[in-house]
Amino acid sequence: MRVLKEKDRILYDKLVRLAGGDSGIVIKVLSNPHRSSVDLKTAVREIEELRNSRNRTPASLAPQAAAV
Amino acid sequence: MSIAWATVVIVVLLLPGFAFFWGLYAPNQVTREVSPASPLTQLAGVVIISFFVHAFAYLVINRGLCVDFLSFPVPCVDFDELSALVRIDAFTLPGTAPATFRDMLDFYIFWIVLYFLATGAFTGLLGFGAGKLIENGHLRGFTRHRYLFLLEKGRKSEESELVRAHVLSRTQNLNTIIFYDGILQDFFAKADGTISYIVLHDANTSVMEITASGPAHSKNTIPLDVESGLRTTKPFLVITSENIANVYFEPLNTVRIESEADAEMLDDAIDRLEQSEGEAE
Repeated sequence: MRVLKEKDRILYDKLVRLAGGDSGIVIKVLSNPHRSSVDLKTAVREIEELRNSRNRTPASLAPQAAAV
Repeated sequence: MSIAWATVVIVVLLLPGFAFFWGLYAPNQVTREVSPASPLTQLAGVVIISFFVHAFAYLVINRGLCVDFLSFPVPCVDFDELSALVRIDAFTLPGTAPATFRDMLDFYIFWIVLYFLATGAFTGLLGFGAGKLIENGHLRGFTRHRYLFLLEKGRKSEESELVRAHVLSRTQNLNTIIFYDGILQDFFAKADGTISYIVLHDANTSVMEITASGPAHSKNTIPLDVESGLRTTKPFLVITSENIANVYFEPLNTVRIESEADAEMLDDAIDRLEQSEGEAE
């Protein structure tokens, strides 16, 4: 049973690209428990804010990104 | 031969019931995938529905349609001929009168085909309507595994509804268990409603350690998709039931795209970001 629509997958991938490849940022924006929906404009703004704030965070304080 | 012929006739008579279940499964994949859990019950349903449809059609035709005042004569249903039709012997026994049933079939073939088309279409549409009601949550008594419909809801929605799945695997080393999370892409349930396999998009892996004070989830997650770039087919993770302890489904906020301008704005923002990254390098 297909759950993820193709257009939704494309949108999600675009949001991850906007987040600089950090899907955690996208998940954080879309997991807001105080709302059930968000308009794309607001989501983009929040993703950019989070991305920029993480970029400003010194690397030593940022969580260690692991890779396989 | 007579048994085979009787079987053919009975299967044809059961067509309305089969059409009903075809219509019932048509609107969604969930019922199609999990309903044959009880084929015997379904066969009983086919027989019962066919019986009532034929009884209803008999009543309508013989009491309403095959009367003289209609501009075109609709033939009445002759139950004696119908019951005799089940016995192929009536056609083939040596020494019997000429094949009266063949003449009957030749004469009424249009009406017989029209009858089965009409009853099949009627029950098919009836089943389709019932399927839509089940899908929309109105016939809750018929919904065996409601969570499957909740998962399928996002696919049918016009808006972007994503579901994140957190999968606790059975892969473990001492007290440490592998944990996966990602956007739910595909899902398949067995007939009893348990998970057969799930497919995750943009999957990550992490570990969970069971300690004396409770489970502790690792702070870092490792993306499995490290460098997929602009490949057309994105990587995905398939986890089968053998490796799934349990799954936590988390519907994410629905993303509303209110105008085309919003989508263009997103594309522009990505272009700006990637241009600035290119210049920085």
